[in-house]
Amino acid sequence: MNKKILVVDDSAIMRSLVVSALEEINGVETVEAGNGYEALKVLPQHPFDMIITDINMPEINGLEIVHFVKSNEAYKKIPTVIISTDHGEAEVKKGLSLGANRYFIKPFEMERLKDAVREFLDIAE
Amino acid sequence: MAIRSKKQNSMLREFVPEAEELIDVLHQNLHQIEGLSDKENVKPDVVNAIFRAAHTLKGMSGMVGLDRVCKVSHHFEDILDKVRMGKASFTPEILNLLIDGVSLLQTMIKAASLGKAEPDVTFFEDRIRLSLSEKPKVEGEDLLADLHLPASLPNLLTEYEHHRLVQNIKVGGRLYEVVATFPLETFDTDLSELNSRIRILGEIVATLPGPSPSGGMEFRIIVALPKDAPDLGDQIVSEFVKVRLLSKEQKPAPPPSSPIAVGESSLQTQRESSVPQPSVEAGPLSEELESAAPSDIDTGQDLESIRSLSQTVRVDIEKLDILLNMVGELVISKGQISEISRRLLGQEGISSFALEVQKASKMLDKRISEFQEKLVEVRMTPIGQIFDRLVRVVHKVSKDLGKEVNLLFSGEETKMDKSMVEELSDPLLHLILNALDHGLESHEDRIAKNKPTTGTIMVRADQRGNHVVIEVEDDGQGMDTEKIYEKGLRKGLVFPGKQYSQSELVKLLFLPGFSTRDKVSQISGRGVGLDVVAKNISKLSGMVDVETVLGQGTLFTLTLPITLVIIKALIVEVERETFAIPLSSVLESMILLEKEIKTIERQEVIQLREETLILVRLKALFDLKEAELSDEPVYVIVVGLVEKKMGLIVNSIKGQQEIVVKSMGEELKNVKGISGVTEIGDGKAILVLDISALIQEVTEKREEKAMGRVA
Repeated sequence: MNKKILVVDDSAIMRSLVVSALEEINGVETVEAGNGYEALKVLPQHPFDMIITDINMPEINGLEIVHFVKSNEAYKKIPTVIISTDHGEAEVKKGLSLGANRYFIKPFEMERLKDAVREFLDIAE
Repeated sequence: MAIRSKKQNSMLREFVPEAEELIDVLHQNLHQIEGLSDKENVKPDVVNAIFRAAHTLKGMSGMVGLDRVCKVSHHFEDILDKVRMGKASFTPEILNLLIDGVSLLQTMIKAASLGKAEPDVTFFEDRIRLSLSEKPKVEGEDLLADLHLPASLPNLLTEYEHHRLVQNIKVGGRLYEVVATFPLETFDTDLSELNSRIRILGEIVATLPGPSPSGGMEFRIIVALPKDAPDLGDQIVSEFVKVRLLSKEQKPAPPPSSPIAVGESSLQTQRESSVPQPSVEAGPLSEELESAAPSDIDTGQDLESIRSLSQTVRVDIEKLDILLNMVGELVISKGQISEISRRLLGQEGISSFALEVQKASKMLDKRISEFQEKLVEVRMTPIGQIFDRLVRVVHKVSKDLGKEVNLLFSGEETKMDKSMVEELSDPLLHLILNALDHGLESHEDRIAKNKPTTGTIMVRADQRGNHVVIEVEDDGQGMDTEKIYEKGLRKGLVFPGKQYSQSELVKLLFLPGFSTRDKVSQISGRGVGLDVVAKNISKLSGMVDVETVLGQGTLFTLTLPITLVIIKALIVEVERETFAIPLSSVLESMILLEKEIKTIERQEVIQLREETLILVRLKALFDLKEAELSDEPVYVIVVGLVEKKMGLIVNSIKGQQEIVVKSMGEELKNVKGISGVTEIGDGKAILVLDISALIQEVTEKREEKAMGRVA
């Protein structure tokens, strides 16, 4: 059974970068969401094993998604990773206090993200 | 497989148009601000749009490895962040700096797209550093304590949202919490509707989603209204929407500046100091810097090309569909006019007038055709687009299956209608997965058979006239037609003792539920059967053919029209009913007398050169009422796709015409042999024949008949 990861980012190119990196990992499948609404919409539709979200998005931001996930019995156990820019240190702190499990600051090495995914999903390299 | 370098290339290819769009956003908004008389009170939305564009550009360029673009856009983001946080404002100096910076970014992106090295940017960085080494300003104190805010709120706001909240309180705006509950299925549309209503009245500071006790989604929207605006509640409250005032009643925070404007009073001094300077030129500081850096951001030639760098426009395919539909209407009107002109020519006494009408009508004809051609061209997309996606999936699946595969492509540049390309991706993916899963042998088997351990799947696309032929070929084990025959026997699809050709047997694979493997593998388990592939291709008016050699591999050939939207058609009449036959599948037409038609094995045929051509009477196929028999000659339209041919018997040919095919209504969607409807000159709706379906239908019927006799 493949592990499913939800990737939320309003930049299509960031999404495709993250997705193609993740799909190099054995047994990983991704679902993409282009904004907060889409993320909330697909969340109940798949049994996600992990969530990776950008913070700075219009309307519903990544922190609000983390809050939604982590304060919801059905989803709170899903490892959630936030992606921010070096501008958003304060935001990263907020995200972690809301229960985000890991953060990455752009630009970052995709290999590090992949390592984190393997770690959370317990996949051997 | 050279996935990596290809991927990086395609990333850069993807990056350039997206970056150009962002540059456009920056350009437009900065020039708009430049034109404002009051640069202190630029709408927060505009500032934020610029900030976000710079921010996204920074992130993207960092990821594709354009470090200098990343650096410069980072500085951009810094400046804009200060502006949107109220720590700086759009002085002429800063505006100029930003506008120059956008040009620099544009030059850099252009260099990147041409594969050149990134230009030196140190001078620009120095200039930014100097411009920013002034006016530090502290963000307002915590005014939030006075509000009845939801406890979790402050932690959920991004820095920017927090700033907007504080700003709104500072200028005496009233804050509300709007609680909206919507069903799970429709919350996104419901919410965006509500948001657009709120935006007319005020600013949305934040949107907080949460589950609703009743099962749907609950959103808490923090809204700021100008001080004097009427109460929000009266305007948006409904069964699903509740409103609560967060600001303390009657606690005006008298703002020093105008009540509605969101600018800060403390910025006034800055503005005044910069007002006397002519707004077009940079302040003295940056002038100095520019002379210190004579190699200015843009040399003359680059400046000329500032606007032309962005040569592409992204258009929603739906908009093109609308345009195409409009052209379709034009074509119909054109048909009516040429019909009128034709009739006028037949009238006596107005010949010169009629000739003029005819001339104008012909000109209109020509122009519309050109227009149509260009529009169809715009919709054409290289099929290579889906190849990229295929690589990704195949890479992954081959890993899952433990098979090594070399996926090769040719003809990526072959163009088809965008909607066709999209529709093709699934069937094509399935054929490739099928080749990977069933076609290619396991690693061990390949070694045993003395084959290279890495299997090859070749995907070729090629345009042939009005059609595109796509071939998917593997060098795997091929199909064992013996096995297919046995399976067919068990399923009662073939008759014992009857001889079947290889191609007849292979065709069984396209029947629903036919699979030669006893165990359904994981890949097939998630995909669709070959029957679905065949159905999808036939929906696109295409055909699938298979050739297979046991032990050597299998070749699937898809033949599809380039576009389905506007086509040239032959208009024919059968028993007073009119039909359109896509010209792309018409091979020739001929006149013959009824007595020339022979009947062989209860099938009407004629001898066409060396071949025997099967004839089909459309009137029988569609159960049309027969007019009385006559000795009138009939027309035979020879239609075909790939090597399959048949002749359609019709009463008359009315001519060739361009038609816009519209899909059938729901109730007629599944009628076999009809691909859609169109209107011709006289405004009458006529049916468009689906030749591939007709050929399939007729061949199947013949096979049934043959089988019926054997049984």
